Amino acid sequence: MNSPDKIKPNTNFTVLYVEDQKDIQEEFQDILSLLIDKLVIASNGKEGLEKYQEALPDIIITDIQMPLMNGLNMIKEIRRNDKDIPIIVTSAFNESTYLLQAIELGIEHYLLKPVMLDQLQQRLQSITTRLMQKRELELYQLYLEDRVVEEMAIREEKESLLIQQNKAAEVGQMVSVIAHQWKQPLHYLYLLIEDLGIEFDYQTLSKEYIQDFIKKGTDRINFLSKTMDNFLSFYKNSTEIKSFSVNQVTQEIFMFLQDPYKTQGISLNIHVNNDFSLTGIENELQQVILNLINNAKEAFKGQKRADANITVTIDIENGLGMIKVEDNAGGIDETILNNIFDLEFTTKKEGNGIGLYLVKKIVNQRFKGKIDISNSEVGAYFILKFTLDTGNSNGS
Amino acid sequence: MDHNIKILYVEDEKDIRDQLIEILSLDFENILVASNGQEGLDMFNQHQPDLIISDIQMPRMDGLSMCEKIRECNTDVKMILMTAFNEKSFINKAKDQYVKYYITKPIDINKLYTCIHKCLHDEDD
Repeated sequence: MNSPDKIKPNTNFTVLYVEDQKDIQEEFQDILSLLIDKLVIASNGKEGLEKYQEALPDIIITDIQMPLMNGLNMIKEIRRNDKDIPIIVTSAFNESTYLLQAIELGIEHYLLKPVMLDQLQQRLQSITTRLMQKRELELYQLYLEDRVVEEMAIREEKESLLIQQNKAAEVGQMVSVIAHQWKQPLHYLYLLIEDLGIEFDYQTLSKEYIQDFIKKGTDRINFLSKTMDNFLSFYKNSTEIKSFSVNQVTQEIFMFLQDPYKTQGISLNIHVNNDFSLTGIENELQQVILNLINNAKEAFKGQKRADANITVTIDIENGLGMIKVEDNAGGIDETILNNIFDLEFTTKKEGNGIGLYLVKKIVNQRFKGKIDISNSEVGAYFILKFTLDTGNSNGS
Repeated sequence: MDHNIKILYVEDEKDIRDQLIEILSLDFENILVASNGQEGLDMFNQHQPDLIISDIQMPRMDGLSMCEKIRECNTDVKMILMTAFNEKSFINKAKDQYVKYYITKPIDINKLYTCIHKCLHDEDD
């Protein structure tokens, strides 16, 4: 379904007509078939019930007095499963007991025999008009539900694209961190090896020199290898949902980032007062912490301060797991504090406005947590609060 | 090559600094060392070296700013900047303005020596 004006409900109606008197049955059969599309005939209540189950009519017209099963008992049976089907009762009896019973069974009209044709036609018309409106409404509802599902799918797709973009940007940042860390030791190794040739030319090679050469060389190679290991243990692509320690995830980030941040004059600190575990995709919490740390780092850009620091605190307070990320970069402009988690909101030149939006989304939806931002006396202060896993017993 | 010239070498990375000093000291007797631009500038004012070999990215004062400041009061001193690959666009500006020579990292010692030689004999060209 694409557009609401294409909604055209089915205009066909099936009527079940139950009447034991052959002559009346035949007379009405001719007239009714002119008024409606499909007519199903039964000669008593029992047959009527069978035909009802078989044909699933939209409307029932029935006599009361019939052999095998009378009309009212048939209606009783039908009403057990179908409270809504419109029923017209035709009866030769103007008795209040029948009428009351029929009303209790929720019939639509009670027509006295002999039934006038225009009377029946009028009643049928009012019922079909109502049924038609009902069908239209149902279709429209269905259409709306479809639209909602469609919109949700589009939204979800957009969001998963955002997560991918953010992930790609993150990998880019990590690679540049590694490149930065590798540059100096590589230059050093180059010089070390060059010197070997020079020492040989000057005939100054000694056993001590070679030992020293090996030690210096292997030390640097170990450093390079360790950097790579840290990156690999940090960079997980797993989407497995499991319980994990918040401290461990944070430590892995720190192992990888502490040195490179230090060379940029930013000290990265972690305080673990009480560790707690969360259930979800480890990688996503990592993305949250990384985004917050990176955000703080960006805030130091252009500031030449000697005491730049970012502190992550892990704790349990009042039965809630807490992760706090603080910096001393001066804080965030109070006027934009409320917009900071909005999609495509950014204050950075190269910012894409995805980072904090995703952070909030991941915290709220994936970990059922809350995130708040405020300014401390010295800088920005993010607090993340989580309900503890039932497995957490290390609270204090 | 004049082995008696006074060289000021500025580099913040201790590893690389120590290693290059070890190599340079095989050929040059007078080597002054500084670990950032500010220290380099102070050393220059104090000792008036003939040649400056400097890294670019350093804390406190980077190599470019140091060279710029030195050029303001001294047009004679020779300067060689050492640059990483991704700083090349950066160096182009410096090259025209106040530093004529630069070599890329990792430092090829033969190239450095050729560069020192060219630099010292520039005035004879």
